[in-house]
Amino acid sequence: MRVTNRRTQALAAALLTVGLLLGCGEEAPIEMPEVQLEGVPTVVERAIQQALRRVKENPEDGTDWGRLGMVLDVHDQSSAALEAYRQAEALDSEDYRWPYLAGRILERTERVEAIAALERAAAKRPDNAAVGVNLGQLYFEAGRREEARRTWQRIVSEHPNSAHGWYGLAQIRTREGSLEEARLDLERCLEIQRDFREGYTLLAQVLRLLGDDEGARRKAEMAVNFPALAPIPDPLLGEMSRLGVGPSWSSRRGEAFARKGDFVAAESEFRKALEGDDPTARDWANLGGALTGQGRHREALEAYEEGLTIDPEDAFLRNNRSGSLFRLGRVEDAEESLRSLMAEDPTYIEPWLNLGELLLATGRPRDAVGVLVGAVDQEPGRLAALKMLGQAYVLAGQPVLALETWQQLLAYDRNDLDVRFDAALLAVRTGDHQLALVFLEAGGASDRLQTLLAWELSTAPGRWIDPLRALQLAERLAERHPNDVTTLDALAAAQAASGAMDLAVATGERAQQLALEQGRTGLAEQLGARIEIYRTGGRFVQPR
Amino acid sequence: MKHAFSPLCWCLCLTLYGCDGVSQTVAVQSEAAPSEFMPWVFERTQVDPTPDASETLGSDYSMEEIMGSGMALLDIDDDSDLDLLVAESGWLYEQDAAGHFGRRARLYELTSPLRATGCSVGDVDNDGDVDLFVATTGKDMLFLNSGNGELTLAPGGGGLGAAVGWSTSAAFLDYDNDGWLDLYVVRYVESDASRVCRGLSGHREYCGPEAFRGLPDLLYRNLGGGKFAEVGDAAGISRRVGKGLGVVAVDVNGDGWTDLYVANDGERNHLWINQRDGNFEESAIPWGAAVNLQGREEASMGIAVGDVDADGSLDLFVSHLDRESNTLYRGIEGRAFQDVTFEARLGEDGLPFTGFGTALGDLDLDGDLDLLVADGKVRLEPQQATIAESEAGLEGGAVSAAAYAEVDQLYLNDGKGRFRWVEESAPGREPKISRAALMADWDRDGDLDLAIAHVGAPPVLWRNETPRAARHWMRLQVWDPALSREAVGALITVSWAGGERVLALTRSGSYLASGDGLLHIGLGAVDRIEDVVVRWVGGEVESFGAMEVDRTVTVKRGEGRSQGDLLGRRP
Repeated sequence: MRVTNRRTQALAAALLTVGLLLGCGEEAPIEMPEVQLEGVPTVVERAIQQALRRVKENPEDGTDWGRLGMVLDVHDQSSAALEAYRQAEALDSEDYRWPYLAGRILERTERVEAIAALERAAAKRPDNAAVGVNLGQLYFEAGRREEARRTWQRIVSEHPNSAHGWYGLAQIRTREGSLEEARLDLERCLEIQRDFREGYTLLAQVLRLLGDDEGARRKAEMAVNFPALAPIPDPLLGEMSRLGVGPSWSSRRGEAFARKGDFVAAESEFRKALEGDDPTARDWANLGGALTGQGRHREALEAYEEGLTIDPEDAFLRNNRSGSLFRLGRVEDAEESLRSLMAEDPTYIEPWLNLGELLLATGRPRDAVGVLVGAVDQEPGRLAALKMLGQAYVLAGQPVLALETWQQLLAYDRNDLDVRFDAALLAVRTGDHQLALVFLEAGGASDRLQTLLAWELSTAPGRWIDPLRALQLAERLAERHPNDVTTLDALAAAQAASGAMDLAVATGERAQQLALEQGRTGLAEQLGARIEIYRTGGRFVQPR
Repeated sequence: MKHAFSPLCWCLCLTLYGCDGVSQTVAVQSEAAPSEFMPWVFERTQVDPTPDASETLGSDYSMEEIMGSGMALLDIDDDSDLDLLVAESGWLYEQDAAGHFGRRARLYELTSPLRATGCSVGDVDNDGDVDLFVATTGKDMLFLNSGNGELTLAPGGGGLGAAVGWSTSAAFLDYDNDGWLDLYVVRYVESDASRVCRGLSGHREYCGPEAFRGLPDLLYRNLGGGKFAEVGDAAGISRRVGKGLGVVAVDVNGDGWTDLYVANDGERNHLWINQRDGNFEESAIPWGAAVNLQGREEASMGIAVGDVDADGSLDLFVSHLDRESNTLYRGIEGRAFQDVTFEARLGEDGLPFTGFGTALGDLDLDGDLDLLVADGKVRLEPQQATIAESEAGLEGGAVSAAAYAEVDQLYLNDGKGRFRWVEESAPGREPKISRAALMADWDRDGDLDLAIAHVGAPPVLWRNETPRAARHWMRLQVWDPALSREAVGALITVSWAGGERVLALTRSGSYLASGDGLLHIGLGAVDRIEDVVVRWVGGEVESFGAMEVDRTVTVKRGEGRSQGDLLGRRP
């Protein structure tokens, strides 16, 4: 990398000038990239120095050059990284990584060169979906629609579960006005990856262009549930991020661990981040989160309070601190703090959800309903709020409102199978078999929902039962789950509804035995009662 | 949006207005377009230096400093030429007959750490002169014009003083169609000067918006006579928090009620669709204007609005941070927008630059809208930071403004909505930290000139001296006599043999800026306008018939031929 504006000698001193000419004899000299180490934390400097040393020791090793590029890249020294990648590619022309990573830098400034680099990478690794997805996007944005289409079609053909591939195709179809096809592609994309935020935003646009304003609004509101873009699955970038050192990277890695639920590793990274020169309130918040994830609420509270000494107004910290207070049994303090946050900034939704949870946990479902209705009013598409509001209605003895709320949630996200199951079960229990079947029939291939459907079709009052279908379903499920008590219970009910009483008794007894072996005595008793009914030649009918 | 009105009536009420106005945006496709590019010629115009301009930055790395200054072009003394207000300093520059901008007065001087940011111009009391709103990092200010060019603070702050926080841009609009100009104030973040931010390499840097919590925007309803009440909560505005910088008030769906588009920094942009009942619904996602093609939020700064591809629909251009392209959202028949940035060839050339102020206008009068993007960094690469410190010999983290300077960019439209960066243009040869930017015919010669505000340097005015050849133009004043003011929010369709173009009357747009209220139309070889049809706020439509070119024309509400009320149906 050349620094173009060198007007003072002070600059030369400031830069670590590694412009060593390493070649000798007749060979062309290899010039090292100039990297900036002034003002960077020692750990970063050390990492860069180490990568530079390896290159100096092995100047003909493309992999070492590539690694140097990666180290520079993750520390935001893009120009120097680009030079290193170019050198790596020149020395190691078989490795797709170097043109790929160079292309990812170039796409920020030089799209034509970026496309060329990604094409070279794709030629070396045509099976790599991450390369293809990125290349397709660059083609599309450059108006090279047919190349983008070919690229993405190849991806979905070779990787049918590539949500990004389907999303790419949907982009093209939207631009070309093939809106129904775009809608189908996007629904496929979202079935594969429910948190694919950009899928919801594009689907909202497509639905609006199709004239479905209500559907468009729902998809737009859904997007708020997913704060970040869906990353393109790419192990190489994961490998790169591990090269990042210093507080910023510790924070990033900690967040990644926390997202995966590995709070011990997250804690370790967040503690490293706090060792930097200027720990922020957010660094303490991160640590508190990792400790909360491990159930260490007292330490988490201390972390949050450390953060609040830096920024006493930080709403995120105060919200999390309230959570710790609640878990430590300081319910009144927690409630007061959450209500104060809600009053200060009603648009910040998290305290509403936390207060709702607190009220539910402390046996105040009616109060929780009030709070959660407020949360849904703020963000109608916030799934967590809708889910909890449904639960609050159930606990408040308002099952009809619970069912309406969950129906509302399923209108946003038909693929939330947990809520679909809960809603169906509630409908069954309230005797609304028609609604239960609506929930269940739309449940797709989920075994859990299919089991409940088989049960419902066997045990509902007369007009709702369908013994033949129930039996087919239950037999198929029992083949897959021969030792699952619930499945066997459903199969027994279906057999009884079909008139095969001997089989029903045998299956019921098998289920009962398994329940006893698992220590589920209550369930075993219920099964015993049902077996007695089968023995008398009757089918089990759900009580009203 | 398509505005294909039938020209049932010709030439009812034209007022030839002479060459005494100046204008803002929007052009008409010429019969001969695309025509050969005549190299743009811009000459720097003298502006009296501001006494306290600083050429160093970063003494405290305050975010407010690097976000910079807004600007307004306004005829403060009603002498038919445009004067200039630089928001940050409060200095008002008055244009004299020779086109020189001399320092006239300092309207206000805020005590550090308070800063004035953006401004907006409109006649809030319908008395025929322009008033001024100034956004600040503390309490905003409303100045009323006495009619003789004197601006004084509105009594009691005009009702705007209750909210405290970092306001950025603002837009006057009549959202409830009651005849009084209401005010939308964009707000940014709750910044904290003690926060230390660093780049990934660990070097000190200005904080970005992600470091702070955003603030909800404000909507002030004009109660009459220049008194306002904040109604953002009731209108639904407060329910969505962005980190807002630019705003434009324009009727995007052509229903006669003014909508709002807000550029949010690192957050989804907001498109507030007027529900015609005092409420707004945020609809940017389904409209396709919230995020870019990849579904990614960008650091949106400034906004320009205009029909860049001459398809009868208004398009939106939004400027962004380096490593993000600027974004062109193409309007689709008043129903949606699509990101067509790279197809319009506006992507790659903007990637290395951080765009702020932006404007669309026909700089060479060839009948299409060209584009200005004013650039200047907010962050440095690690190397740049050290170079800057070393060269300046500065201590304590202060760096030279030069390290953040970038060239401004002018893009030439090929007549089909595709652009080419004209690097050799004069404003593109002087790197500065540019922020607010406007196009207006401030020298009253029929073509659009430029005005650009900077951080750490005085504003620069560029006079357009591009050879005219046989190209035509028109300036259009759209006036509502019952309100004694320009008809802010109106949509205008200008048609001629073989073509038409839609224009929007708004002074809002760009970045922290407020432009002229006259519309400017480049016509190329078109030497006669067949009809001008105005859709007034509220939806009433009037046709004004044929018009001559190369002059300023005024159309007055009630003096055209009524085309009925198009509210609720698409033209």
